[in-house]
Amino acid sequence: MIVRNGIRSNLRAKGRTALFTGMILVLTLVMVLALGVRLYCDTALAQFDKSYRSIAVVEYMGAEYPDRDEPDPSARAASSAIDDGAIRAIPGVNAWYRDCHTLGTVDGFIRLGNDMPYKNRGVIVVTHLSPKYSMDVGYDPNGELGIVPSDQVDYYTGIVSRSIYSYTGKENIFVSILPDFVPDDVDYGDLYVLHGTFVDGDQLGIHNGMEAFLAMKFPDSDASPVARLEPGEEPGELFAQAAEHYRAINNYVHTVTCGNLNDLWEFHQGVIYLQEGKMPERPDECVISGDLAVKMEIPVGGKLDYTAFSSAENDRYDVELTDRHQSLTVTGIANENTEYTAYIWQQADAPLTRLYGYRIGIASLDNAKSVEAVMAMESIMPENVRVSLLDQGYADAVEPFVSLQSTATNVLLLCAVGTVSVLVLFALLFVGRQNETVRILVSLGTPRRKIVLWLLSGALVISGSATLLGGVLGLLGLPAVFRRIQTRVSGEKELLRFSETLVSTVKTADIKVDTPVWPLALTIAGIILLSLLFCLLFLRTAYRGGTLRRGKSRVRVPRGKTSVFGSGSMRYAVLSIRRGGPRALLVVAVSAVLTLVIIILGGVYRGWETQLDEALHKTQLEGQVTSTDGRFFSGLTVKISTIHKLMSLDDVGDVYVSIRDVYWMPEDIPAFGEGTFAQERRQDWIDAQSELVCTNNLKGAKEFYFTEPVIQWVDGWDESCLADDSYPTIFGALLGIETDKELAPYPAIVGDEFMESHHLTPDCEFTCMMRGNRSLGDEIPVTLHIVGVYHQTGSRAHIYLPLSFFAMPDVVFGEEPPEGSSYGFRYGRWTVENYRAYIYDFYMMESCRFTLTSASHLEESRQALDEAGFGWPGHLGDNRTALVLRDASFVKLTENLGRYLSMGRVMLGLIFGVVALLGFIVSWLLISGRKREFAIMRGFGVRRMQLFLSFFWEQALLCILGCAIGCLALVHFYAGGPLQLLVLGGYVLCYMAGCAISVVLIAKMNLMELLSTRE
Amino acid sequence: MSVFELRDVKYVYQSQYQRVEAIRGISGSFDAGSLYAIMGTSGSGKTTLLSLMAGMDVPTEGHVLCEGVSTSEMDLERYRREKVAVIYQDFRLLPLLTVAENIMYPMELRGKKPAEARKRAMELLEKVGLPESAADRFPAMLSGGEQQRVAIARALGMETRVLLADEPTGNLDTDNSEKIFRILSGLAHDDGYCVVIVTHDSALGERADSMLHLRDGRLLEG
Repeated sequence: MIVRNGIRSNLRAKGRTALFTGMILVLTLVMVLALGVRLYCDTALAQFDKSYRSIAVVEYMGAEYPDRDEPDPSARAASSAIDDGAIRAIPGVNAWYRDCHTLGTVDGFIRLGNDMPYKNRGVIVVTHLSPKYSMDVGYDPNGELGIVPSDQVDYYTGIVSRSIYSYTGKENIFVSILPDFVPDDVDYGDLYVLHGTFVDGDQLGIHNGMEAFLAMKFPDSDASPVARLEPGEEPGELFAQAAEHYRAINNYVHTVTCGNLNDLWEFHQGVIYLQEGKMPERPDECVISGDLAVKMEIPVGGKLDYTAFSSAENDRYDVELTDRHQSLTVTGIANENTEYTAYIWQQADAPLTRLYGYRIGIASLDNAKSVEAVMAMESIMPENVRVSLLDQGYADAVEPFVSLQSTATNVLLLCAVGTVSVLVLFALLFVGRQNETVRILVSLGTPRRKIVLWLLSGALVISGSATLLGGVLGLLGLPAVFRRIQTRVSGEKELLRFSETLVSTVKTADIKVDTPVWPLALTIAGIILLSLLFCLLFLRTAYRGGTLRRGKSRVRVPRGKTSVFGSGSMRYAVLSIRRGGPRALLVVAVSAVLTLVIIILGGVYRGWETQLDEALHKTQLEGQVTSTDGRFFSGLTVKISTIHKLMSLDDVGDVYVSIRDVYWMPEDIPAFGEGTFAQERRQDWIDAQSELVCTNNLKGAKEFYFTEPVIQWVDGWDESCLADDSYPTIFGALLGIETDKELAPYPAIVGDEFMESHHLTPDCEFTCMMRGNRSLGDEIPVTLHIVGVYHQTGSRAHIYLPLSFFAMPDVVFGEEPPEGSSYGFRYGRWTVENYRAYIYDFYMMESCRFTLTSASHLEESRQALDEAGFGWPGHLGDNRTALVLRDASFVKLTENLGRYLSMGRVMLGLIFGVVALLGFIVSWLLISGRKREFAIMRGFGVRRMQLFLSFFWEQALLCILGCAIGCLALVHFYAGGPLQLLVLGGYVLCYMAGCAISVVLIAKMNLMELLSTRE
Repeated sequence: MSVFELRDVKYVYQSQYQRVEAIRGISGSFDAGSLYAIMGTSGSGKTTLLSLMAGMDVPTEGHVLCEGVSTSEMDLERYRREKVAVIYQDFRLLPLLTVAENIMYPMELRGKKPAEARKRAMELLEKVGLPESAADRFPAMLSGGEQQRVAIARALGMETRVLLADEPTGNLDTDNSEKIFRILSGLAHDDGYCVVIVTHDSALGERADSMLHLRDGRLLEG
């Protein structure tokens, strides 16, 4: 009976019951949906986390980057300066592996091709030696410079009866033997074993097509490299060791060791992948390259004997055998890849090795914290060290889920706050304010237990049914929401053409999400329990008001004295405000708190807007021509017509190019001989020299792609000299084509070490040599003027010159192709126009970098580049030139901000809704609780409008006062813009609407009925 | 001439579920300088009749005439503001206004300046026997008798010729009831007010100049 009456009495308060049922239902529904989405996202993100791997590649951006074999001392110094412990201590770094790339040998492996250190070395047994012949040529006894002039040279001829080791392994062939170390009294039938090197017999002129063999001393022994053998006698130990040494070293294999091979760049990026087998699990297991498996005929599970080499400091391929032998079990065979021939990958803790190339190490990262981890790593890295995040597309894949997760979390929190507020109000009204009921029930002698049951049953039926209904509706609606998410996520993501983010590999993962239901059921139960808790808390209030308590008055007495100020409705409004006590304070407090929330969230939102605006308008985006896979950006062949096409685009701002060729100082070149062999060695030496880099801006030189050079300029000189077109091209000047420009020393920016080692000083002139052409001769001297000095960090001493040294800037950057004929120039018509046309048609820029005019319309810029025929990594455009925009951080920033702004818009909309609803409810409840006051005033004949205004002004002033306090408290957070004002205005309007509707509704009530109202 | 006249007044409460004829045709007249008592049992319609006389609503049928004009033809708000003053059993003082402000409120409604209204309020307080110090106190700080005197002072401040009182002593003890009755009687007999009291207290009713009995919405003869 008690329960029935309790339920009925509440259900019959239709308006109030409907309002709160609706609010609880909607809030529960939204909470269940938000929690469901959040759980869905959590599960999806966990699956993504398992499917993707994130690594950070740490590289030194040295002058010869990305040469993998460069022994750059600066890179080694930077590598030494990196604290392994500090990196491992960074949150989000799961592991840190130093680069460990060494060479070694595998028993039985024969390397094919020319890339071997001792290709010409051999240990051979010869017989049938001829008498000594003589001729007027010479040779370099060290075998390094080929043939040098000599008065007379002696040689023998013989037959290679046995090749203990030679690259070709040929036996029974004629060979010329140079006489050093060979005794004069050789007998025709004797056997001799020789240690030495094959040289080109052809260039000796001793026998056409016959190879010559030069005996050489052993590296670490003074023993004779020639020894006579008795028939059946084996060569001495030294010869056998040397043969074994060369065999091993010439058949080297690469060995890469990493704590987890899945984190190794090659495997992570999918360049190398397992074709069969599995990844190693023990240090004595390995994966081998496909070609190694084929040549060695090793299956998965097979074994190979490996011996490690040690490399010389300045040459990775100048190696020595060590005593580090291992018997390795092959657990997996990788695909065949020309870049990775004869490779062994071991999964073990990498031993400390000397660094060649520029990859210092790899960090394995926690996917979710990878961005922060990379930022932290960057902050502790030495200068010129770049940390690249490669996440296999994890960030893009999870982006919609992270965005949804974040929005769902915020909606959940907001709904939780809203639910608590509504449940508190609900408990206050349905239990706390039931004083009259309690009074009557008490007067009827109802036991307290039953009164509690009466109150709670009525309230809980409403809150419980509303919550259950909302929960069930939410659960029914979740599958549709999940389908919508899947549709949205699986929708084709817009391809960021030309983006740097396309350079690394992108995986796709199939995610199957199974969302648990128990947290949702728990939430529904939680709301019902919370409602019960609040009702229990307000029971005391119901009793306090409903029963008499001795010695205590339950009437609040306001403070103040009689006022005679003001008139009309405003006077009464002000008096009510002044004496309203908690009622007035409640309005002010609620308004102030809501204002704080609005201002803080609005300020944050505005901050994001400002950041995005600044990012869009202040970011200077750069791009560069790259190899088609986007990995290399130097050593290219960029046509001048391509540069013209690039410059013709409105979206492209500045363009920087470089073109380069080697130089050498006359005093540095060794005295090579004159024969073909010597000339080849000479060319090899020249090819290995540092370069004259001609550019219109230092940004155009690959060395400065990742670092700003620090130049010490000679007075009166600056970087503008590089773009100066008043210098003639070197060939144009020397050939007498560009007669209108004076050939003067070219301004040059040189390295400090180069300057010091050649005893040069700033502002001085010097002459170096460079390669010429058919008309000017093979080598030509060039006079340069040192106008700037940069700090040399690598092993090279490049010299930076104006672009005009090689090519006229107006030809490179002009709008139209030159009018002359390049063919005319080639066939002897050496006019300036023909020369310009020749440069236009045949000169290739080695690198090309450019800036975009604005980042604010990046997509339009991408479109323009696409329409102009440029390609991007993975997509070859019409003009066969791939471009990459250095936009990774910009894209990340704008994507994040865009996501925040989307979430902010949703949240602000929701907050506005909740705030407006709260404003409406608070004002409505406050006014409708003052019916008696209203009735008394109407009883005096107060005009309706005056009455309306009295309440309206009171509430408006209180509400505005609260908003003003909120605004003043957070004046620093107000970031400008109309958003916060609009939301605040909306709140005030809703509040006043609640007030107005309440007043109007009360005014419609019969006055006689109203006067009998008991509050 | 009668200040008040009731001509076959009928009033029906009509709700969704029921129709109650609270007043079923009452006629009568009320003169200035007299104290009238309307008596009846609970539900007899006496408060409804008083409310109709107070201009809270107009009769369903018939007329309530004040100074010869039917309330049905008048602006009820103005009528309540200018023609009648009402005193209630539960005083109905505005809790957030001081005693003086409560008395001043209807005066200000009629356009009196606050300072003038305050002066008049002080006079009225004296008239109803409250000390000057009570002016700045709030209703909740006063006893029931004092609050009813404030309500009377507020009614007097309206400067009407008619004073209607609904159970004015209903919440008071005997001593305070007597004091209030004396004030009301004085207002009728000394100041010429037409005072109509609704009460179920027969002792009080018998002391009125004229007593009307209501039963089931009808006036009993005699």
